[in-house]
Amino acid sequence: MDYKQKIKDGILSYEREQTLEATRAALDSGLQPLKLLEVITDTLKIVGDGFNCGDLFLPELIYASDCAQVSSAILEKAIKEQGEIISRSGIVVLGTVQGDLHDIGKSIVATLLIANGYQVVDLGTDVPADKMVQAVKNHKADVLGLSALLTTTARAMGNTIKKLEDEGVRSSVKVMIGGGATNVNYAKQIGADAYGETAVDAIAIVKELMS
Amino acid sequence: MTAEGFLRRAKTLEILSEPEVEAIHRGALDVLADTGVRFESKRALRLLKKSGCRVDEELNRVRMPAGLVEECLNQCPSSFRMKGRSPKTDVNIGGNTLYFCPFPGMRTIDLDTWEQRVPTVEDNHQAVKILDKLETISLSASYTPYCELKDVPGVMLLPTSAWSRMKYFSKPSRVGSSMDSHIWEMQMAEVVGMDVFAAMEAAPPLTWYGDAIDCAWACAEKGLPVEVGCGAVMGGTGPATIAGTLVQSMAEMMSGIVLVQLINPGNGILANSFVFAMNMVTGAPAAGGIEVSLFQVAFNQLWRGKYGIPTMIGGSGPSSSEIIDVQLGFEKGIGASLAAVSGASVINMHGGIHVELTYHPVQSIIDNEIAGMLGRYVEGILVDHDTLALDVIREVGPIPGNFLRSKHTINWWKKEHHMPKVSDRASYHEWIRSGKKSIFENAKAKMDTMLAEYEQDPPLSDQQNEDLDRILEEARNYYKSKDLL
Repeated sequence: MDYKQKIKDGILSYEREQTLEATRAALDSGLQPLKLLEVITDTLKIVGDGFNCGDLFLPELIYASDCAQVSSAILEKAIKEQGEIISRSGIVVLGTVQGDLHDIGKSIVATLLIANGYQVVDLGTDVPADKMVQAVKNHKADVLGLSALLTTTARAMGNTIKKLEDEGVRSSVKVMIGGGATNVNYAKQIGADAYGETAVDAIAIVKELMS
Repeated sequence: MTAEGFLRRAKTLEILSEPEVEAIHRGALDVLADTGVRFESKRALRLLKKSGCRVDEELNRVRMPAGLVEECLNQCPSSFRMKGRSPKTDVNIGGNTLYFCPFPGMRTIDLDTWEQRVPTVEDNHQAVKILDKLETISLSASYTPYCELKDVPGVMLLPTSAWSRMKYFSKPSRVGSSMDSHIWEMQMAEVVGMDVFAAMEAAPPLTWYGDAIDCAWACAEKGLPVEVGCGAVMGGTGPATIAGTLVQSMAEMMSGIVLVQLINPGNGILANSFVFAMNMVTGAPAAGGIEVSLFQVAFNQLWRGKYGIPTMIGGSGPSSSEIIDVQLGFEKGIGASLAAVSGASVINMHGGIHVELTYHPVQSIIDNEIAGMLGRYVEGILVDHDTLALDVIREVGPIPGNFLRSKHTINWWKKEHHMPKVSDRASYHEWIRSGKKSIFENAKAKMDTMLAEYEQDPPLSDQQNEDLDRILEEARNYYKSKDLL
């Protein structure tokens, strides 16, 4: 039984249960969880490429990523139990700022980052500045990504950056912003390190910020 | 590529009340019995006389009894099948299916200067290849896409146009009805194993010339469908009023249908509306006017609604604009939309630009977008347990839930949402980055890709190609023998 192929097929056919069952069966058969995680990462790369070239669309991208994450969770647990370490490209904390409930754009960024090998801590929407700062500290984040869709809430981004400074962690984390209410000038004005126009841009930005 | 067409689930728009429908119907019968119709064909006059019509042999005028007309209308099937070059390009015209067809133009236009140019035979081949691969195109009219070709004498235009389509277009075609062209076109269609249908278009007001009759006769004898068309210009060759032109056009078409049904009872009929209003500034037909759409909506209600006869809406294909611009877009878009929602079986639209004078394949690619949208519209809204989505609404709940993460979305979005091919759907930033391209640039690029990737499907054998060339040569010799070349 080619479990690796089954895991790949499960993700590419958007079958969460099939992916999960194949992952469990693969572990039971004695396959190395680190190797299985590589299968998932490689498959998500295929999905990401499909999205970037216009063959796949947001629902497929997001759902394939969800299928992958469910399986990744049990693999990560197995890897930790074996005392091994997962190499990550970096840790990114994401959140939509306080007062703003827009979730989808930020979720797409999260999905694309995960597909590209980053560990993502998604704090959700309407996230107060102190919660953002706490997450940056707790997870030792490399990058903090802030999203705002409303001109009325964009100013909360500036408050979050100020809070990072007040707490003395601004120099340890890069800040990127995005969303309909923001632009490159606003990023400069509030002292962010980068501005992303689209969700796909976020990948290159995180890579550059961490280099 | 598919010839499945679009299956209509959406209710159709009606514009006339029942008494209004009846008044137009009775008006047409009255014209047929009282004024009569001129038939320029001795054999048609003989057949009509034998069947109970009053024939004035001096004026070639035929007056038809209402009973005969209604009997013949009742004989017309509500749908008929036509063979394409392979089963996947067969069509079943009528019933609840909507198909699209290109709209011809005499010349092509230069996309930089917008000036007209006589297309070459190679231009014609290219435009045909594009049509063959557009998924919303299921059949073609005659003398389409171009009705003038460089270095091709006028009398050879129709056979040459058919020869080009038979080589590079796998879907059923209409044959032309001028100078015996149907003889060669029908032979070519037999070579490639495809069905054709006749063009029998009235010369308004109230006249049938021999060419149209001969073409219809030849097809009906073989059981091939006949497109019976009206083409009055309201205020010129038809009354200025929409109701009046409906009456006159119905009378013209009914008289043609009577003849076809007498030749072959039960023969397939496609009722074609090619009516325009007169542009009272220039005297030319004013394409794209809303009065044309009013006519077409009523036309669909009368023919498809009252008589159950499939309709072809030929008059929503062109615009009055000289260029591919906003006016062209809204005139064609509104015209085709109203034709689709009011129940057309076939809409002739793709590629036509200015009245019937210009055509460009780039426009056919843009029209493919309109057709895709309208096709999706007529398919309507599916309401069942799964589409009502109660389970997924419960699962997702209020914010922060969203439906992008649901399997339900994966399962349904492509069936429910129409994805355009060349329309701009980029984000602002992506649009800037990719060179600020409009649908026009996208369609031009798409044309290049489609031509580079074109493959004949199914391919023609060497023998078929030779036979097509031979028949074209025979047509040339025929016209030479008649001193027409």
